[in-house]
Amino acid sequence: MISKKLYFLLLSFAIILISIQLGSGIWLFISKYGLTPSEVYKYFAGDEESFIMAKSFEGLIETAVPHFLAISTTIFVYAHFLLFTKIISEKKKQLLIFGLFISAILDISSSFFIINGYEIFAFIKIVSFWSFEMLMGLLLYILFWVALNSYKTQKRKQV
Amino acid sequence: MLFMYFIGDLFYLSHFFGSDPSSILTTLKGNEEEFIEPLSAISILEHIHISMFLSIMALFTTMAIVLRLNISKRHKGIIIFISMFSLLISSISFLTTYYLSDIFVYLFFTGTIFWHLSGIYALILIFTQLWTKKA
Repeated sequence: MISKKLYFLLLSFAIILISIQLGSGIWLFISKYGLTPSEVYKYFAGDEESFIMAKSFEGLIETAVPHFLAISTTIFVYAHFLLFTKIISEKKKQLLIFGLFISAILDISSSFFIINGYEIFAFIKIVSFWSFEMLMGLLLYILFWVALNSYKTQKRKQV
Repeated sequence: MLFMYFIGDLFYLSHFFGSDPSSILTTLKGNEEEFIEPLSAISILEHIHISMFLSIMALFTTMAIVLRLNISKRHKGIIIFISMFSLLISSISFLTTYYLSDIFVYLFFTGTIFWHLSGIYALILIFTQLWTKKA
């Protein structure tokens, strides 16, 4: 049988590390694209006045493909722990996982619409990016809470 | 493949950043005398963003197997703590070396060596137990 103490130790480290990784993603997003839809649009579609070159389809594919793999793997690895918890209802679990995947897909694919001149997707990219980050934060918080409670329960049983 | 990743990543990092603290500092912050440009903040962030994802996945997968090994709880705890803690230290000190002080490069160097070696050690243990059918 797997020790709950060791399981808690491993999951806590994984949650802290993936939080830093998410933090680096937020930092990168703000540094590269900016915070407003107009800044995001200029970054992808280009702006002659600011001497910003429009991004190419090939350039976006180079970023999108590894992100599709990385984000889907991350959601799968971390969200599958929800199956073993009862802290939230099945409906809420489904909503959380669905929200994570939809926001990630919208975030990654909206860049392709922006370079084709659809300004609204700059707004969608910002909303979906922050939704993904917040939902991921919520998922990590739930997992940490469950792991901590399970560790405490086992410790109480031992006493 | 995870074994190849831990070894290959060590080679990649030593090739890209340097194999000692002073050459890592030169790569990160540049050197006017040798006409070496410093890395941009975006490059630093992109590196940490990509490398952290890969290392978390590699160590998390390896340590999930370590949890199921036929060794003492203490032994498992030490492997998990050293590997994950040194990865945490290595990632944070990489950023602090660039943004705060050169002194953190020693933490980055040591942390990086430690999490790679503990990953390799864990995989050797896993291989051994699988070979002897102890797991």
